[in-house]
Amino acid sequence: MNKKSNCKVNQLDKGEELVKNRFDFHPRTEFWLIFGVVVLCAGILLWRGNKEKAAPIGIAVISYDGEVQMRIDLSSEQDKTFTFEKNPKVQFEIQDHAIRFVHVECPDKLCEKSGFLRVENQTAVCLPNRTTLTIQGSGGDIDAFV
Amino acid sequence: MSSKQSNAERIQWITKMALLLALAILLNIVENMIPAIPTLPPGVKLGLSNVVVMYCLFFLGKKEALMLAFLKSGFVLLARGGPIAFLMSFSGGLCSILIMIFLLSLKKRSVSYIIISICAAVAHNAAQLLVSALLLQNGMVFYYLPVLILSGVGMGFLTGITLRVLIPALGRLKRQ
Repeated sequence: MNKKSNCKVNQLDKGEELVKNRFDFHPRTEFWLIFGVVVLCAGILLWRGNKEKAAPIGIAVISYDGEVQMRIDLSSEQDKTFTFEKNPKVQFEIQDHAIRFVHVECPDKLCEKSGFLRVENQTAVCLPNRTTLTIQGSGGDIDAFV
Repeated sequence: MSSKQSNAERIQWITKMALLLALAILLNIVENMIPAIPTLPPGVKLGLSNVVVMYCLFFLGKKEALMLAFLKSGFVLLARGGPIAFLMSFSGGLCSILIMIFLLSLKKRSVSYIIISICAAVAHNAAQLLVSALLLQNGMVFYYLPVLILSGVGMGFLTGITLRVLIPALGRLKRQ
């Protein structure tokens, strides 16, 4: 039993030593690796932000459980608030050719915080309600609506 | 726990685990009470309870850390949002612990624990994103990936520093 408790003490000391010795933050390989990833991500975000400014207004696609429920051409739709048949816990609002989640019944309301979506690839998700809202580009699809 | 251990040791272990679990849950709740900073994108959180999980992994062991992550997710199951929230919480917790165990087990180099914390946070976010993509059957959620990697790096750095600051206080756990 003595041996056992020694083991425990060693484990504790090891942890403390580990934390102390590993506080070094020298620019080593890992650091540069992480730095590279950060720069890459920031670059993607900036590039995307720039692209979105110029992009045309897209088509909102509402999916539930992986199945498309509604497709709405934002460029021609009037301002309104609506819901879809399969899940009335989720509501959407269209305003100035942009769409967002509103009055959703879920714990943290991340989908509502995503705000208005307007151009291609923008996405908002309500995981508890298994609902996604994505914007697709208004390419060849537009013919189907006319 | 092996049967060779004395009752006192077993009780000590249970108490310690209970204390850490309570701490992790409390930090989780406190974190949810902090209002979101408006400039931050939605879903970005500090992940304070990871401080406790890291402490548990460094000072108590792998088994204990995994158990803590599971129990913490159990709390999420009971208190917030049901099975989906549990799945998200557990997948994130499990992945971050596995990556930490992997980085700690590297024989050739001792990875700085700030780096370990950052990798754990990024793994946590990536796992949650993957699970949500599977649940929603929608790959579009990967649109969030750059944001979540960036936030993982930032928050992982912060939790790593926090652990450093908390070590003296948490160190008292070992004297009793």
